[in-house]
Formats: sequence, structure tokens, C-alpha cells
Amino acid sequence: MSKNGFGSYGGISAAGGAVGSNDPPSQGRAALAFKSIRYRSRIQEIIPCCVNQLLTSTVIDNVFMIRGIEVSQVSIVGIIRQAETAENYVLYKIDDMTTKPIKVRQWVGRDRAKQGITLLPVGVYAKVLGILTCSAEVKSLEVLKIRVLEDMNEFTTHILETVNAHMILDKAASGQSVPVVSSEMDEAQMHSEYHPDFIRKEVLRLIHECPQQEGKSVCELQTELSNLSIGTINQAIEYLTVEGHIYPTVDGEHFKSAD
Amino acid sequence: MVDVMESPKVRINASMLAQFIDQPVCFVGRLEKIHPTGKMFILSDGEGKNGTIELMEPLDEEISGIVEVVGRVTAKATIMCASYVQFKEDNHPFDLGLYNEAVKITHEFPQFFPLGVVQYG
Repeated sequence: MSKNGFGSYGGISAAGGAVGSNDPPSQGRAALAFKSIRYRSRIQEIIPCCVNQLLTSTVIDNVFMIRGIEVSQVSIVGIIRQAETAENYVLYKIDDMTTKPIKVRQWVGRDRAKQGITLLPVGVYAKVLGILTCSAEVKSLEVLKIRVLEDMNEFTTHILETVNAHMILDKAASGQSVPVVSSEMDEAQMHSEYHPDFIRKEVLRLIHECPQQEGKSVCELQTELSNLSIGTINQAIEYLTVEGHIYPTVDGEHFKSAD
Repeated sequence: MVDVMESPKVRINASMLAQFIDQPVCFVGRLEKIHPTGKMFILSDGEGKNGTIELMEPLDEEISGIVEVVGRVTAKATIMCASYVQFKEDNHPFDLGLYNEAVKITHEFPQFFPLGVVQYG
């Protein structure tokens, strides 16, 4: 949980179930096609922040905004400066150096409170995942999870993740798309006949032109496209199936064009 | 005198010391040397450059490895230490080079890693 990838930060999507279909999914490639359909659902994101961002966030109607971005569940990393127990909660003060320490409250069930709560030690770095709240104009965190850092490199990655996440959210909010860096290899491939797009077009064309009722077999494709590897042809078939351009017929080895 | 512990502290490396004279800072580095009096020690940052840390009272314990110092930069571009923390390296070595890159990034993008305003009085 501490090392979320933020490559596609606009929305974390959940893999949905298979879309209903009348055809029973055959083995191999067709089954893969149905499983890969994804839904976007409103999952609450955990946004890495620094304490100063939390304490300077604006709050209207219990909605917190940092630079125009709505935040609720956040993660911070800082030193535990203070730890006190109360009847059914533990109050920590977490300091990440960006401003004064923030109060962080961990609710403890009465049963656990009776057993005795082990306080985390003061003066060590901890990671806190919590929900931003505001009471009497004082912002604090309600703890979902707090743990002492065993690997201090997590503290470095938190700083990097914070800048990265806020940068991406900022760009998304202002409507710009995040620039994708195309590798040199892509450029070289674009100009060669082995570019995936070109291969897919060829495979689709051969399947489309096939007059047989059971469709084009993979064996025939391999014979006709002898300069391509089996793996390459299979990749093209998988792509075309997922995109819906072709579909399997009698078995997983024969395909017809959907166009 | 503003309490350093309650102020925001900029994370810096040794090259930035001269720019932050008289300001509260946070410096992370590897312990290189402790002065015999115990009132001064030297840390090297992720770029290999040294920062000198001065103490009001001599050290009362052995320190080693990676140390994070919080304090104010003096006119001589040393740091007058208010407090320090040693980083645990038992299980995982700390990547000081990566930390140095992170510090430079926070200076390059202060809008995404904002520092609080120093309160006076």
C-alpha cells in the first residue's frame, strides 16, 4: 500500500466482471478478451501529502481542497513527536518538517483499551494513512493505519510520490494530458514493417479476406506470414480479439473478421 | 527567538547551506567525523559534500550512520543543531543519493511540496 504506482493517476479502475455474452467463452484468447473489459468506479484514492498541504487546505462543507483538488484519504510520513493515550483513543503528533506537527487520532475500541494500548515510540519516523477532518478550525487526521517505518527509504519515496501525485493531479485538473515519453525503440519500429500496427493490419486483412465459413486458421496465417514469429502472430490475434475486430469460430485456432 | 522545532524546516543538502543562512533547516547525511570535544560533527550528503554540525552541549551518546539534523544555519554556513535523529539501517541501507534527488525535486517544485511560512513573535 505504501508504494502505489502513479503512472495512470487520473482514476484507479477496478476490474469488472465479464460482460454478459451469449457465446460461451472458449478457451484461450476469447476468454482473455472478456476478462480484460474494465469498469471505472469511484474508489477513494489515498493521496500522499506533506503536513503543510493538509494544514493549509481549504475546507467548505467538510470537503477539503488542496490546489483545487479534492482530498479526503491521505498518507503522510513524519516523526512522532508526541504520543498520549486517552480513554478510547491515542493522540500522536506527527512532524514532517514542512510546518508544525499535525494531530493524528487513532480510535481504539474499549476492549482493546482495557487490555492496554502499546504506544508507538516517540522520535521515530512513521507512516500514517488517515482521513482529513476538521474540528473547531483545527485540522487533524483520523487514523486508518499507522506504523513505524522499518525501511527509511520509504520516507524518501513518500516525498517523491507526493510531488509526483500532486503534479499529475494538477495537470489533470487543468485539463492537460500527461505527456507520454515515446521511447527510441518505438520511433525505430514506426518505420519498419515489424511495427505492431502494421502486423495487426496484415493479420486482420488476411482474416477478413478469407472466404471459408470456419474462418482463417492460425496455421494458415503462420504459413502466409512466414517472416513473422508465431509469438508475434499470436500477439496480433490477441489484440484484434480484445479490440473486437475478430472472433474465434469453431475452436481457438480459427478466426473470422467481425467487420 | 523563534523555536526551531515549531517552525517549518527546509530540507537541504550541503550545496544549499549558503542560501539558507539564519533559517531553520533539516539536513540528512552520513556521519563522517566527530570532533574530540563532542560539540561538533561532520555529515556528508548525497552528493558527497560535507556539512558541519555544531552542538550547544557535547554529544552524550555514540552516533553513527545516517543522521538527520534539525537546526539553524549559522553565518559560517554550519548548522547549530537543535535536535537530531538517527536513521535505522538494520534491515535496509538508506539510499542517500536518492534522498538527495528528492530534496532537489522539492526545491524545483515547491508548489507540490510547499513549506509553511515561518511565524515570528
